[in-house]
Amino acid sequence: MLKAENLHCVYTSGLIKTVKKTAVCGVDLEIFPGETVAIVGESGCGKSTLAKMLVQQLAPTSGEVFFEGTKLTGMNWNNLGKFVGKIQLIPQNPDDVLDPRWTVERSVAEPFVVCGGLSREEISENVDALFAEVGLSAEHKPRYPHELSGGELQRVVIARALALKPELLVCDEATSMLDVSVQAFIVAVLKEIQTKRGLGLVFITHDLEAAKAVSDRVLVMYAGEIVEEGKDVFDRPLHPYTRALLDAVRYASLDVVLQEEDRALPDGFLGCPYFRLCRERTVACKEPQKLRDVSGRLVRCWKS
Amino acid sequence: MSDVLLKVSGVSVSIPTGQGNVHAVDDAAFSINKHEVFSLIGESGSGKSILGQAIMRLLPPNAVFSGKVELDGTEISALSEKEMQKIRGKTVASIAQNPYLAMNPGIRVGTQVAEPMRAHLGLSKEDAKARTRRALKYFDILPPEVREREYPFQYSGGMLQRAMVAMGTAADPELIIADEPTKGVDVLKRRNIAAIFQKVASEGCAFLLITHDVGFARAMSDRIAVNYCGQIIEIAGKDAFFKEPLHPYSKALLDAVPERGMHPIPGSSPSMIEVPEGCRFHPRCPHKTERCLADPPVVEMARRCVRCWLYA
Repeated sequence: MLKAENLHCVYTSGLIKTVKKTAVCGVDLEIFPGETVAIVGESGCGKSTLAKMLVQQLAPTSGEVFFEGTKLTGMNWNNLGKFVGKIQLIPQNPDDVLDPRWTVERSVAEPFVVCGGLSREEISENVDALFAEVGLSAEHKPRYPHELSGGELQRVVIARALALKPELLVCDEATSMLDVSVQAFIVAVLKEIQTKRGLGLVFITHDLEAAKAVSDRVLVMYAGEIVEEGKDVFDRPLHPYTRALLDAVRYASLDVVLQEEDRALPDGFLGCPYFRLCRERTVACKEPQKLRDVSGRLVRCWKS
Repeated sequence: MSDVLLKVSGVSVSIPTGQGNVHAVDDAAFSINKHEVFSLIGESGSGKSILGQAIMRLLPPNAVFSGKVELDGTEISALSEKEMQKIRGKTVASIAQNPYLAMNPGIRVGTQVAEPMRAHLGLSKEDAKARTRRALKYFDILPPEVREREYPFQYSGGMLQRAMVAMGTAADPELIIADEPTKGVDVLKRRNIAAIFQKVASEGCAFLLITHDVGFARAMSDRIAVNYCGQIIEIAGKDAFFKEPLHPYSKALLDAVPERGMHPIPGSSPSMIEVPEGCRFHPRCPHKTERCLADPPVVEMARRCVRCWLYA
């Protein structure tokens, strides 16, 4: 359904002394209808940048995104309008996307108003249906964002994302700021909507256990690259980075503290980005690593 | 001397607001032994941070406090503000959630880390400086001679958190209160925080961890207390708790964790202004009966206690 080819994103800052930072480099991915894909990785590995490029909020530096065969990148805004409703982003912090001066009812009704063609009664009916779908009651409708709890706000954002009948939802850390019980509730809401509407779901998270509980397929990202992809990644991790992540979740090997300052690689280093931190590194790791197919799993490590 | 370091008995805090009184803490009672890591877990908005603030006597000025907090045999809830200042940082230190908000942006990190030593241990400037360098080195802030002269904005998040732990432990406290140390932090950084906390705990410092992260509490603590809607509903040893939680809310909370299949708790959290009558969990509880409308007793068992009618 959604296909991304060789996506790159480079952020530049500074006018005189330009600093370039590569956030995403060379990501290929494909999402099939009705499938849940989890993208996991630590903060700063380019997950959110990737999410923004998938929903066309950010133009990639190079690379292409296709939706059901149509190329979205580089499309002009008028034509893109038909597709933005089909792919919706649910952000990490619902406060960032809801207007604090609007009632949540108005925020949820906005997509219908923008698209036009509906009478006021029809809009109100649709909004009621959406509120019911995400488990909010009518008493929440006239409230303002500051009057709702984090879990309720996240449900409002989901309701708004569902308004234009999307075929793909991209959840960017949608549950990581919430408590476990609320998190479980939001995931249950998303899953229910998915089975009812047959949506594709991209679940971006740093919580591996949540990813495992939710997804059909997992992609592990490190330093802007996909280092491992497959169905049973967590039961049989092949890349050293995936193993390190799993150890961290289980609080195994507490003595090794990864220092973020030691990660910087020398300029022009083309080898494995995980080189400095990998405990199993050899000279061969200085060569560029390619994604290799290992019994139905893609791994970016020559050792696997 | 007994082994009990901190004893909290009958502590209640209510905060008057425009909508009514918020009953943030109701009849909290627990004790922390020396060298023990004690976790207080619960949802956000269940009053656990307020309880931490009440122990440190850092409540908002309009909060109404009642009850007794004893530290090492002295009743700190009755001390004057001046006497309390001698205890804060010396015997009890707190580590805040966001290091960028908790450190002074205009003062060099070295000076801030040295401050508790100067104030509480009476060290001279030179001694404090030497000790600060040792502390920074201990927490892997390298090289300490350079790093002590830098300001908080020059540090990365993880490093500043370590600097804050260095500041908290500077005057050798006996108890550290850490409020949500892992909120919004990814798994690798969370593991690092766990590692430095264990390093400090292994030297005999007791911890009160206030967290909603069940996995973190499980990895760190000796005993666990569960807070729901302002009340501590269960206190148990870690192994006993994770093997068999007794209170229906504890069970539901553990079932909501991703490892156990993410089953949401039915219903929504009650308002802290109009708390449910009797057992505060009864509107959402699968085992509720008539008697749950009356206040449940705290049932003491071997090395654990639970606030529920099921065990009365």
